[in-house]
Amino acid sequence: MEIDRRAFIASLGGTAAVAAMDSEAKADALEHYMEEQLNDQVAQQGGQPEKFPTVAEIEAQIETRNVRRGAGSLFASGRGNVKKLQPMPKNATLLDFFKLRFDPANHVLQSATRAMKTGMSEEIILACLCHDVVLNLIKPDHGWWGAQLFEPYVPEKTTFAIRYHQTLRFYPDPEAGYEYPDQYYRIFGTDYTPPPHIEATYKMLKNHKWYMEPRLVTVNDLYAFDPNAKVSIEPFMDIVGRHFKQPKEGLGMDNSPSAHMWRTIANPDSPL
Amino acid sequence: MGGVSLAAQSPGKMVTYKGLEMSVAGVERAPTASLKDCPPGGNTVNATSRSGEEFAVVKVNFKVLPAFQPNTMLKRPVVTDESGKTYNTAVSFVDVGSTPEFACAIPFRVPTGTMLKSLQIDAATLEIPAGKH
Repeated sequence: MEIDRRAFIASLGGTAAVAAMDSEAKADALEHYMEEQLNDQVAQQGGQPEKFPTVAEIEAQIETRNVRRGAGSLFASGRGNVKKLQPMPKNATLLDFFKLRFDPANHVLQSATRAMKTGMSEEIILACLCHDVVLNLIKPDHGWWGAQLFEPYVPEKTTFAIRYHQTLRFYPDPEAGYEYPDQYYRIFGTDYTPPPHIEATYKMLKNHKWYMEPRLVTVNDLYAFDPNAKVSIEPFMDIVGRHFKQPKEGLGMDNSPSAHMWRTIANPDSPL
Repeated sequence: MGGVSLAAQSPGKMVTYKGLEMSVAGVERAPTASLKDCPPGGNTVNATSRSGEEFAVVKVNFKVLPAFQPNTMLKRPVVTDESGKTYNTAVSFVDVGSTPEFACAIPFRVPTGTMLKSLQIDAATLEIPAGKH
C-alpha cells in the first residue's frame, strides 16, 4: 500500500508531534493509519459488499492490543501518544468540559443539531448533546454511565433518554425511523446477540410511556456520522442554560453523586 | 451500493407542493442502504436488511421554487405498496431550502419483491408508475 507521507504526518498532528513520539508509537501510528486507509479503500470498492467480522473474529483481536476496547477516549490514543491536556478552570461548566475534555464532540453535536432541525423537544436535544460524551471516560455500558454522570443536573426525561439509548440501538424500529446500522456489524460482529440484561431492558422499554425519549436519541444517533459536518455548541447554549443545573462550585466540586466522575474526566492523568 | 438492481430509468410525474417540485426518478433494490437525510449530507452509516427483506430505495428529484418558505418542516416520507400496506423510512427532511435542486435516495425496508405504488411526502402523493417500482 502506498502511503501519503504528508497526510500521515498531518493525521498525527504535524512534524512536531511526530518528533515527540518514540519509535514504537510511530510504528503503531503507521499501522493504525494503514488500517484506516485500507478500510476506506474497501468501503469505496463499489459493487462489493463489505465483509463484516464475526463475534469470534473480534474476540480474537483482544490480545493484539495494549489497551482494552472499553477504555475511555481520554485514556488511550488510537494514534500515537496521548496529548497533555489543558487544565480545567475553577468552577468548571459544561461548556468548559465540551471545550477542554470532550472536544471535538462532533458526533454528539451533529446528533443534537439534527434533533433541533427536526423540531424535537429541548429535553431530547439536550440528551442528544450529552448522550455519548461519557465515552471519554468509559465505553462499556455507556448509556448507564452517561445517565449517572448527568443525572444530578438534567431533566428526568433527558437522563432516561441517555440511559436507554444504548439498549435501543440494538433494536430496529422502522415506525420511529430507526434502522440497525452496519457499524454494529463492524464493532460487535455479524452474529452478535445482545446480552440478557439488554434484552430485559428492551422488553421493559417497549411498554414504557417514555419509550420515544431514548428512541429519538437513537434516531438522531444514526445520522450523526458525517465527517464533513460543520457543527458547534453555540446553538445549544440557551437550551443548556434552561435545562442544565450548573453547580456554582463547578462540575466535580459540588459533592453530587457523580462529582467524582467529572473530576476523573477533568484529571485523567491522575495515577490514583 | 452492492447488489443493486435498477427498476426504472425515466422520471415520474412532477408534483408541486409547498414550493417544492418533486418527481420519482426510480426505485432501486439493495440489501443495504446508505442513510442520508434529504437533502443528502455525508453521513457514513448504512442500514442493513434481514433475511426475506430488502431495501426499496426510492429516488426522488427536488427543485426548490421561490414560493418555498424557509424553515418549512416536512413529515418523513411513507411508501405504499400495491396492497395498500405502508412502510416508513428512517430518512428525514433537514434543511430543505439550503440548496436549489437536489436528489434524495429514500430507503424503505420491505419484504423482498414488494411492489410499490406511491410515495407520500407530507400531504403530497407521488405515484410510482408501473415499471418503476
